[in-house]
Amino acid sequence: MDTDLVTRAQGGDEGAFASLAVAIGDRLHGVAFRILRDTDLAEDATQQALLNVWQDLPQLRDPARFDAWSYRLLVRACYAEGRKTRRWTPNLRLLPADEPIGADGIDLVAHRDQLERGFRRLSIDHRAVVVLHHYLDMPLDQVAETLGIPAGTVRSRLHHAMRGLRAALDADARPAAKEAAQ
Amino acid sequence: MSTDHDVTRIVRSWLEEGTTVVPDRVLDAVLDQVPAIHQRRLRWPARRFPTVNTTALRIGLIAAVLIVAALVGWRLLPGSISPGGPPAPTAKPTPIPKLNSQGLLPAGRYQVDATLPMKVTVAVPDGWSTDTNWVVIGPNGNQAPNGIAIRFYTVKNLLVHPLTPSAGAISPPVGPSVDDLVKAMVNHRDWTTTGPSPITIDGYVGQVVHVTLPAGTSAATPFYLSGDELGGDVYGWVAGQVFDIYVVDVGGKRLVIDAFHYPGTSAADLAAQQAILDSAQLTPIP
Repeated sequence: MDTDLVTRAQGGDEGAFASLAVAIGDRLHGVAFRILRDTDLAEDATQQALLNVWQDLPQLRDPARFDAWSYRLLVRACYAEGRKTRRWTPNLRLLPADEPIGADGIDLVAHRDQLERGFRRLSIDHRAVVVLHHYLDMPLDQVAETLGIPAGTVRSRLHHAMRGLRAALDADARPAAKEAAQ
Repeated sequence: MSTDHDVTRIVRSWLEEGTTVVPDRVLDAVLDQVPAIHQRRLRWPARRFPTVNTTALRIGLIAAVLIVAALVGWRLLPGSISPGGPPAPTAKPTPIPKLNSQGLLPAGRYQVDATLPMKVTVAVPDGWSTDTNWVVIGPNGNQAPNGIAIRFYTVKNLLVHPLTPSAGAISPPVGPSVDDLVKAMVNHRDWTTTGPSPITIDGYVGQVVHVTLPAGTSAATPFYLSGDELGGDVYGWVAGQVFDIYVVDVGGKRLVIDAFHYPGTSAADLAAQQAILDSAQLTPIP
């Protein structure tokens, strides 16, 4: 991130903040959607996080740490959205008929529903760790720094979350395996 | 059975799906509000006052002192009549901050910001921190060998196999009372408990059960005291980890507090944990 832009926004430059918001808006929204699994909630969380960025920016001591700091504010906004309502309604998406194979050859259609169900059973704490690590490719120590929690807690949460997702995938695989055996 | 590598690849591919562009209306709404929102600035050191005419200042101070003394003396004269007027303003109660941030907590009283059917506040001493909105963690963290923490939640049911959450919840589900949950914990074949013992927190009665997590518990196979969909998403991750589980009836609603520690936790931290529990103030929400 352009630290000069951050510094100017810290000083109250609304134009600089507008440029910042445009630069980080997509990334924040992408993360919010993946944590909350709901378009409306993600938009609300992104909007609140950006407003909090503007409001609290003067308190950011090191402009070079802007990215991690902004993700922390976003995750907090996701917590708030998650607490505000429990409307975890699934986002229905019409899939093209010829979209069974993912980018790396994985049959995502077969797994999508299981993952969606398994992911929704996770708390926001666990989802945030999965998304920061597996979507943003953040190393675990950076996830810990971003969320302000010990690295051991991050590892524990990631392990728990991946175990839950694996159980969700395996749960649906079992009946098919039994049928195949018969 | 999927391998860890398969699961990671599938999850990563799945996460790539979905929106990556923030709608313009979100940015527009933010930028429309910015001019009306003041930035929160850091507090600066106390401002130095410019040099003033000290003679004028002294005269002013003396006059102020004389006026105050005259007013006080008049009010204290025998038989004097109160000047009346509106009563002196009383200090407004300071709002209790909520445990909804992460990191070190300044010593003070905090409200547990979890989705609980009652208001819960606790006094937290120096050196303790919070992780999420319902956890208070000791000065040495919450990990073995000497960590300590307190968590607040509700529990609707228990799992059939605490080390295998995919096996689901017990059926029929646990009833709503303190006794129902305590009996379910004590009688559960996979729970090794001592107690229960009667307790009182802020005048509300309940019971405490002590649980030591069995061999086989690890970060890879946590022992689930409850599950997310059951109201808690609560687990322990070290064999030998000790849980004191307080179940309290607060105006007909069940509150569960788990105060956990390890064999290596210091006596001072255990005493601080007990003090936090003793400081709890519980208020039913109608």
